[in-house]
Amino acid sequence: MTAWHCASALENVWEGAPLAVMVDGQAVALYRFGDQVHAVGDLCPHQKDVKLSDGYLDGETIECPMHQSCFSVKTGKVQSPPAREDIPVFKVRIEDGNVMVEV
Amino acid sequence: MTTDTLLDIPPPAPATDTIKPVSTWQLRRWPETRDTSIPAWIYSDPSLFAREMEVFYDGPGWSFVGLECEVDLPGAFKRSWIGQRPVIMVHGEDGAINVLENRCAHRGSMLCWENKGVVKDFTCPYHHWNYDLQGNLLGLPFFRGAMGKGGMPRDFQKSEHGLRKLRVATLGGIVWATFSDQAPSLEDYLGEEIHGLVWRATGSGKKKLRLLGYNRQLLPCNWKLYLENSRDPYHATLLHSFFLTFGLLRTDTAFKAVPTIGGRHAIMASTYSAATAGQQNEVTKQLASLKTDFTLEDMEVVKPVDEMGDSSMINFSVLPSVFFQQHGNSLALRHLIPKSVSETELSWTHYGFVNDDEDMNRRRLKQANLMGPAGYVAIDDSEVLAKMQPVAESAPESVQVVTMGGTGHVPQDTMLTETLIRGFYSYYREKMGL
Amino acid sequence: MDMIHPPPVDASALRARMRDLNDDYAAALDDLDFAGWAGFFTDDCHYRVVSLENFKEGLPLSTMECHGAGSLRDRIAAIKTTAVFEPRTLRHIVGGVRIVQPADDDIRAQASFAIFESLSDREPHLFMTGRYLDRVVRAGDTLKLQERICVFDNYRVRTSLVFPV
Repeated sequence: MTAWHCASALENVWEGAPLAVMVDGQAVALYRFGDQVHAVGDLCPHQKDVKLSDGYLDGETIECPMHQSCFSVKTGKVQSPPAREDIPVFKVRIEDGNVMVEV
Repeated sequence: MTTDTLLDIPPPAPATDTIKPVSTWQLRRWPETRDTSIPAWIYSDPSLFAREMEVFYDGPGWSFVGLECEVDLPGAFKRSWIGQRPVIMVHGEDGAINVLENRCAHRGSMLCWENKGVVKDFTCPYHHWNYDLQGNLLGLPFFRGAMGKGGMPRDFQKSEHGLRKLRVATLGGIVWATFSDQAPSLEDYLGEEIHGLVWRATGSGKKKLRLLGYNRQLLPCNWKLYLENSRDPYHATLLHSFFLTFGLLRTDTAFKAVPTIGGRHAIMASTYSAATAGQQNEVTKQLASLKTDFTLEDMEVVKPVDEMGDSSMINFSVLPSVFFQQHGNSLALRHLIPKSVSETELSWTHYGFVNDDEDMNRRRLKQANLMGPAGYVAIDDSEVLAKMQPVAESAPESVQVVTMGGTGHVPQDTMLTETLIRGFYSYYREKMGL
Repeated sequence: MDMIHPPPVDASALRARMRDLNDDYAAALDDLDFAGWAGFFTDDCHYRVVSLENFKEGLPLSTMECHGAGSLRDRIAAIKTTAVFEPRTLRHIVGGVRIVQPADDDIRAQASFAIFESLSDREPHLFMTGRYLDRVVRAGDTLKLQERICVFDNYRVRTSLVFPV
């Protein structure tokens, strides 16, 4: 059962700076590219208790601060080990200056 | 005098002009009667022990690690030891068996604390450095620092900080490894006879090994005391009266004691004959400890079946660390793990084959009662060696005499010989420079 | 009014009897009274001393294993007549008795054991600890061990295991 929730005001999401939010109890990170915002799961699937948003963003790739597993913030695909699973990707709508995320 | 030129052990680092550090062992001199004497200080000198670990366990030889069947899934691992160094044997994703030193490349802490398991990668408990199954460093926490502070230097290359990877070879379902790039191939290190015997002991390529279990004991003695004991057919019928009473090993069987590669390895091959069992000859009559009135209620414990089909029981010692046991149908690999100059772990891995029927399986388990820390036969060895160590320590300058069977180290057709021990120490002295 | 059904077996009395059995068992071994030790077992008994390592992994190898009273007698005979070992004194302490399955027959019980060993020229040291896993049956007025599996905690046995556990 999915629902749309307000994750953040758009003006709080900055280009080049991942924003960690909780959306309906799930750890989500928001990434802005121009006027587009992407929302992906924020916990690294390798060890599950580390926030990817604390890591290193290089273009469209987020690198986990713990063991440097890399993921695409647009497609969620895992790009380098030790993680082996993709991160979930959530649908995003911008409505009245708010970033809405469907979880 | 070994003809083998492949194993050149590098000498210890030369002393500088101003300070000449000398280890105690370098001041020692083997007794004049070199081939037939063993000085007791070899069992108690810690500096000599450290040098032995370098020469025989770090050096260009192959050590036993474990069995392939112990790690039969990708990611399955088992801990083991080569000398004093802990290692991890792990089944890689590509199916190859890797052997990695169990020491984090960061600060040197022990990486893996479990005996066995299945993992996707290894993470050090201390600072969580993370390695793949081949030992490559994948990641480390805060590689780039946090909030603009800390982090590794820009020129830090993960590829230069992986786990130490050993060279690995498998033979007959057994995993061997070496720390040294100078070691010859496993085949050459074992030599033709031992290579053939390993093959025979593991089903000659036609069978798959099946793990039956482990027995472990901590022996309060130097590792070489056990090694010699496992190359000493002379004591077999004297110490182990159990053998004589049940005809498992008699002085009148066809027996060969064969040192190989100048004494590096040793073979003891005995042909058991149902026809001679129960008979006595002049040799057995002389033995004082004959106990023919002792019978077992469960005789299956001492009635083996000739599974190899050659009426032979062949036991052999492969330097530095493994003894291949064939006692009746009890097959085992005895792994010598030195812990200190005066302590050695003896780890027994008992095995059978996947297609063993119920009877064979039962025989193997029953006959295992002769072996291990509670073994009807093996207890005697542990106890004798435990009492030898303090005496050797109390009299380091005393000298043992090993002239049973002669003074050389050639193959001999009798159990009444110390040729294998003389052979080992000939090899030992050459490699140690003593 | 609630019906209170008494348990089919008096579990606390059974537990007391197992404590007594274990104390007597320990005394027999301390006294090297092996005939007495064998007397605790049924004729079709199974006796196994096994490492926790093998037990957890379900591996069949034991450090000592006897099937049947005859096999127990063989073990005793081997110790008395052929084994070579340093004289020692053992002290068995058994505690933590629990009845896992009270029953009229096929009782399951457990206890913890600790064995202290004093070698001929040494002070006592802790030699082995572990658990007894028992299947106990009634033989007239007494309880007998149909099975005793001694799972020892040691990673390694200290030198050798000479006497039954």
